[in-house]
Amino acid sequence: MKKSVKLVALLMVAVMMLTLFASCKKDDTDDSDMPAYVYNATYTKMAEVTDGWPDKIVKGEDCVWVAAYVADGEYEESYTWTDNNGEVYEESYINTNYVVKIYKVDSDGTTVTPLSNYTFNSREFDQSGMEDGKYKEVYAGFNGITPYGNSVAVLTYVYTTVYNVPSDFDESSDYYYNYDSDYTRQYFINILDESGNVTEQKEITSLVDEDGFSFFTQDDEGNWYFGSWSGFTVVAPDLTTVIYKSDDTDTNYEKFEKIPDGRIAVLSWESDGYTVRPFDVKNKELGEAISLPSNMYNFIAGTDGYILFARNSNGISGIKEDGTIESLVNWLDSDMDSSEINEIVALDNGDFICCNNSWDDETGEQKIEVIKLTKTPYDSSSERKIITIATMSLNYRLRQRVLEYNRTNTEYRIRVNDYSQYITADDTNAAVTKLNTEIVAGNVPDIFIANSSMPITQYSGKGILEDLTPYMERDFGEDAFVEDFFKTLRDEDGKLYEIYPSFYVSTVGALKSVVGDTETMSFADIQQALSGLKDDATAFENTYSRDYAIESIIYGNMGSFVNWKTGECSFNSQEFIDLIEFIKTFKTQEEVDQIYDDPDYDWGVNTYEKIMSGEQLFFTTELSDFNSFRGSTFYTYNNDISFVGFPGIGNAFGFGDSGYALSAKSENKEAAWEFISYVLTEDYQRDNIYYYLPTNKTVFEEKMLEAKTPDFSTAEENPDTDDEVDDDYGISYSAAAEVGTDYYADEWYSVSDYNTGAVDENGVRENPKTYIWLSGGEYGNGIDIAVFAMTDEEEAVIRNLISSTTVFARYDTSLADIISEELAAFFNGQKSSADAAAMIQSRATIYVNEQR
Amino acid sequence: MRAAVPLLNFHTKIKASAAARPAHILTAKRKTFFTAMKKETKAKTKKAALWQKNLRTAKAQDKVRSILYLAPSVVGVSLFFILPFFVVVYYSLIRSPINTEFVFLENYKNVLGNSSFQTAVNNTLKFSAMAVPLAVILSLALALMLEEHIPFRSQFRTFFLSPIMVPVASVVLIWQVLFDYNGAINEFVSMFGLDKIDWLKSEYCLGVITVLYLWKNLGYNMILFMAALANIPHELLEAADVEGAPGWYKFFAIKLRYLSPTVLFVTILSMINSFKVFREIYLLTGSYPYEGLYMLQHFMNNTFLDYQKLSAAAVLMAIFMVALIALLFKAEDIFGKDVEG
Repeated sequence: MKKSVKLVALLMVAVMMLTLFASCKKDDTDDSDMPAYVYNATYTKMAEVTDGWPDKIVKGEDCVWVAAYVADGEYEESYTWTDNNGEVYEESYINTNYVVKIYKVDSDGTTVTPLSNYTFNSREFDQSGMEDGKYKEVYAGFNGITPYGNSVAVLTYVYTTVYNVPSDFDESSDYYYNYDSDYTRQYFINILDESGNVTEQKEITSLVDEDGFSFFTQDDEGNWYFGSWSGFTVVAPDLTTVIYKSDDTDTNYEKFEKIPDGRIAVLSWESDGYTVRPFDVKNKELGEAISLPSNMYNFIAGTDGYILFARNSNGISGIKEDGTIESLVNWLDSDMDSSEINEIVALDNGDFICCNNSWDDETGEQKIEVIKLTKTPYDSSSERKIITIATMSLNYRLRQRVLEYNRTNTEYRIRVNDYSQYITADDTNAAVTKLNTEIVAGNVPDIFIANSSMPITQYSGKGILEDLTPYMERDFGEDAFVEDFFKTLRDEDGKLYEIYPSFYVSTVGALKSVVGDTETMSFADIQQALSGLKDDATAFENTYSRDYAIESIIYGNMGSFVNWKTGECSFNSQEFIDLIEFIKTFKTQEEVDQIYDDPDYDWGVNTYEKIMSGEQLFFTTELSDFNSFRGSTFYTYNNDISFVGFPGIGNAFGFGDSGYALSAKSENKEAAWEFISYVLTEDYQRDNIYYYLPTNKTVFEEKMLEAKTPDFSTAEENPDTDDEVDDDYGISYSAAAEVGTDYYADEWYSVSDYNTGAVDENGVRENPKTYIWLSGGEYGNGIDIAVFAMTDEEEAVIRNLISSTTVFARYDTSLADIISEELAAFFNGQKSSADAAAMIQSRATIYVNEQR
Repeated sequence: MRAAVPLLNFHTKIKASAAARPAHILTAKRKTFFTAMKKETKAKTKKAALWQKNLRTAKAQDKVRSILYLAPSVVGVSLFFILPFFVVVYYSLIRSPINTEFVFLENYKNVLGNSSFQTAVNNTLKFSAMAVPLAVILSLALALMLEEHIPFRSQFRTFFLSPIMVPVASVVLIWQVLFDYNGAINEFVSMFGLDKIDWLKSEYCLGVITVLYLWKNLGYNMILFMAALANIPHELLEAADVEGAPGWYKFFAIKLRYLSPTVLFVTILSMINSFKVFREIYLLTGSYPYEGLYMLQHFMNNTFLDYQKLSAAAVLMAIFMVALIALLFKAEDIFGKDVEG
């Protein structure tokens, strides 16, 4: 007894000591963050396919079967139609004919052999036309394949609709689908041999219920499973005896997959997400539902202890029968682009075979490739130095950049931790919480992706982030960037902790003829301007609710009322009190919902019409592209515009594309900086910033110059291939008026009174930079306003707009919660505006000071 | 000590024998006897030495066994209390977990200068200063009341104890129903034509929480006082009665003096509970309540990511608590030393 007590005591001590030592941090060679396995990809192009896409992929005994739509010649399709004057038109189109072909892929993914004697060509069934005084329309389709012995079985269908057209039916002037019809359909199972010959065709039409069959499979005992979104049927191998028919109308069925024990699992979408239930043939019942992760899709049959595999943009995970999920493949760790993958199937040894569909850079043709993913132990001996990136979302550009970097860099490797995977329906902050916990534990990523989800301000305040100014000045020079934007990101000491490749300016505009030539408006000015409009005029859109106003005006501009450095807040200022009083004049969300529900509400009246008719004072807009901005402001309102900014706040900057921040603790600062600084380079911004304004000053000025430079072309250079288009170019509103009213009747191309385009006496025309679609008012159903080169006056206004903006729109969840909670009490009359503002000030001050 | 007993008996035996016989007879026998005794003594001494040695070994084994039995607790306490304490002190003296530069008292200066921290300290002290004396005095009053033979005594005791059994979530729910802007209290108040009050977002907020705190804690304190009252020597009280001492004198001169250790214990317990009232406040008002309800634990909870601020605040709070409790012990020592054994 005593000995056993001693042993237990010793054991406990050992356990505790082990725990103690296990918690100690290992040295810098710690590779616990590294994956145990990566997947090496080998690509095999389907040689004969130049146009097409993979449709289905299923696992056979020692191979994989792929069904793909591939181009097979062209066909002409003609339509006749009659206009209001009774004139008959005929149009014809040349279409590519896509047929289904089936390919056998060996298990190492390198040999792709077509079943040469099988082609499913739906056009062979197309027998549309008059027959026996009735119009018959036939449509055939392919629904998939399943392994069958050494080959496959194919599910196809033929739908036939017979329209009871009158005896004098004329195809050129009448439409057959205006008449009653009778509808029949046939479903077939075609059994193929190894060469693709149909050895047996079985009609299963009698088994089909109302919604038909859209997917099918067969189990090891030869039982057939047919399903549609509304139900599924299990049929004995004889294809006549029904074993089971589902009767659950609340479930949406999606597909069948064979699980490792040989049973067929039914995947369905239920009210609480994806579930899988194995079907028990012996007891003729569905098994217990296993809930599947909501952030996963494309579930496929599991192997190697997993009931299913699931994939998403991060990788492939294995799902066990008890519902536990294990991450298996990380696309980026395997240097693979998830967007390349279409169909995927798991092999017994844990490898995967996928198909993709992309453009061949060499030939310019479409291609289908078979990709074999071979499970390979991660080789830590050849480990490059790891740079970690923390992100709340992995966008396409970042993924491409990381892939390119990892494929080419020999010294460093980027590892991306996408924290969005931790977000659940119950806890949307779980991603930030997880990252914060890791930071506190000393596991600080080298690079942070800066966007609205990343608490950059808090991290910089805690000394986690590196000041990037010295790096920028060293590599790009002192005056290389649009400082008007970056200055709003700097702290009081001038330090900059985040960089962005692009930006925009949010502002508010009003007619100069109403508000005067001004850059700011007080609330008294707004009331005065409103009093000069129609009686029921609103400041913003009629459907602009209080919630929306809080979100767009206050949340987006919190920086106006908070000094993060000193901890001072001014939510109890008269400006803020006036602002919330102003917002209270907006409709409640319920009132806005009533508008949306009102069937009589005239949705045809747009912002432009309301402003021009005096029903609305302001419109909100964003300066993110010179030409479209000018089109929607100067051109739309004939240069009668004043940009006054958000009431009580002014204009605000926003970031266009996600940015970066660098960890102050990073051991690879230079390499990390090299990775992130590419977004500031001229080359990157020239090639990748399409919609927003570039932050690189050189590229910004290039864009400005490009917008200012007229694009001329002579009549010879731009021959009159399209009269409608030709008439518009370079003709001013007043000049067009002289041309005649026909010009205005055209709804496709027109011009505004405000433009710079011109046609000189030699016929040299200025081509529009862009067109802005505008409907309403005198433009009726709509016109395209041609936008020409930027004028000096426009340039001055735009530059002033940027230089006068002093706030970076930064959303803070905690502050937003405090504000919305207290404003709710004000809006429902529980508190006065001053009391609500005081309460916000009290709570916000505590919060802001905590952050210092 | 056990080894000395046979030796003492042995000498006593010699003395007794010598006194009873003539000297000549004694000489020869004495020789033989002393030789035999020497042998015996030598053997016994040897045995005693061996016994001593065994005893020492047993003591050493006992020590090792004790250490082994204690080891899990020692390791556990070290691992989960002592080590983290020093870790917290370490973190309070460095720049950040990222930059481990030694900054000495800079974090303390920052925390002490932080207005949120000042608000939190102010509110916590204000609440404790208000709630703790009330919790002690009221529970003592209740205990004294229930000590008397009043009707429904045991029902009252159960009634005052029942809040302990109510889960915090339910307590919070009840308080929300009572003190919400549209809650029961305001409905009652408005019946008299008075304006509604946003109780938890007004200057009354601390009062609301104090009521909640007292409601939750009085019962337990009362039981402690009742147990202590039962242990006061009845002879003293009876003697006081015989001497015709008034009730107030009996209370202050006898009962309170005998209750002083319990008063100290209840005060410390109430103080700890007053710090724990954050739980109820958080559930009622969230992370950022009205300024008047912002407690030290809010500050610590909200600054979780800021280790320096958190650790400096924790150390300051610990120092304050230790000083306060030391003061209470001193007070108890002064007032209650004559009644303790």
